[in-house]
Amino acid sequence: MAYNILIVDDSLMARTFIARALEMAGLSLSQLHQATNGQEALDLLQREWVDLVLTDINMPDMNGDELVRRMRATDLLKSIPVVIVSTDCSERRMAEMTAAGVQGYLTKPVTPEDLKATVERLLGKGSQ
Amino acid sequence: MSADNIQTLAGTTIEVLESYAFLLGGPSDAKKGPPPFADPSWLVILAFSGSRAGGVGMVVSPAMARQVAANLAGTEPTQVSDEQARDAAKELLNIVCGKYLHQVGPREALFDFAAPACFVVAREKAVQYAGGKPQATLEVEDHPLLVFIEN
Amino acid sequence: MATEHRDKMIVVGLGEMAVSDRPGETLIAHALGSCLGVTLFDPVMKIGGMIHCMLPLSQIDGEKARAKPCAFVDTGLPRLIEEMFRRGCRKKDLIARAAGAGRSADQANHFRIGERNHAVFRKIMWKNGMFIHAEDIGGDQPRTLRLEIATGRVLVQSPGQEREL
Repeated sequence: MAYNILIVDDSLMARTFIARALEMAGLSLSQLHQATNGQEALDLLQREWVDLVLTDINMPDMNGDELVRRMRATDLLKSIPVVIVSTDCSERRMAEMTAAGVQGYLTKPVTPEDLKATVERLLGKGSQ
Repeated sequence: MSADNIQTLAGTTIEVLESYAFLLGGPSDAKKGPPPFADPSWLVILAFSGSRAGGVGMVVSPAMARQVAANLAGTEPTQVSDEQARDAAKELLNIVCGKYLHQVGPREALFDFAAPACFVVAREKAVQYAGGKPQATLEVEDHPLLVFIEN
Repeated sequence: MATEHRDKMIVVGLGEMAVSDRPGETLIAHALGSCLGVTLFDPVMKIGGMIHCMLPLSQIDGEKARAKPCAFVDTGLPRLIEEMFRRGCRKKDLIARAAGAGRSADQANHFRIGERNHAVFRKIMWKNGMFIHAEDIGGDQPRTLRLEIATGRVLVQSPGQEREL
């Protein structure tokens, strides 16, 4: 089984970096989607099957908190695992997001090793 | 913020440059001074609010920003656009700020980050903007980098 | 447990690299302090390589870099990678591990050589699109790194402990 992953971040280079790190990690990937903010992510999630969402917190138009809240409130989306990938290292923020229903929290800069461990923990190793 | 924090900001910047941008940097040579700043330079600033309000910034050369973007993408600087280079500089400061605030604390603090802004400015104006603020000049693989704390 | 009582030990000294396809051999790098040891193993071809680098960037000493490119991470690691490819290994099959890059005892780690060795290693791996399977990096203790060609097992020893990477 190969996975579809959505990367949500307003920084082009952050998305480029995460996409490259996921590819390097040798994960079983089918599609890598990208969105620049929470609203774009929600729009994409309505039309594409996604197995995992990796999202930043601070974004224009709709930030990561709101994205998570909306996903959890939508039947179609509430069981999709969400992992935060953020520059915010505060324990309070991590606790907040965990309480809001995210399954993982990675602080930037993330490494291919961090991503591989997190994706495999949540989705399994998959197969080509 | 106290002058002590500029050392933390400089140290954090060096660590992030190594771990994220794959660039080696350090304090500029006290006798020689840093390489001259590019003209124009890019002034990147990031404001934060929440438990306390403030900001950090840097004066970076377009060439260094281009190198950062190339390193992140695993490509060469000649293959990087200005847009990618500006974005890379902003994301670099974003990560530096997050780690810096986590270090200077307090632990229970919570911050909201504004989107980083990047301005193309003449060298003199960039250096003048940072003037009077706690600042440190680094040398990053032959590029100068000035980091400062907004006051 | 190390198979050193049976295996032939190939010592990879400072600024050296070695590649082997002989099941009876173990590559070994001793006393990795701020130095960086990297192993690459191809389980399909059963070929393993190791390098023992001292410094991150070769530009500080062009003459030495020409004479001993493996002394520097930026010139040495690409050589190891190229040699593995030359022997028929494929990038996607290579399992990379690293150890060392610790704090220097002298000058209170002022030059941060260990950290910089590690940073240049990660940069080269990133640029080559190569995943790092395991690392035992940093700290104050020197390490010994072993790669068993027969099995691809990598063992790291530091005072009082040994573990498989």
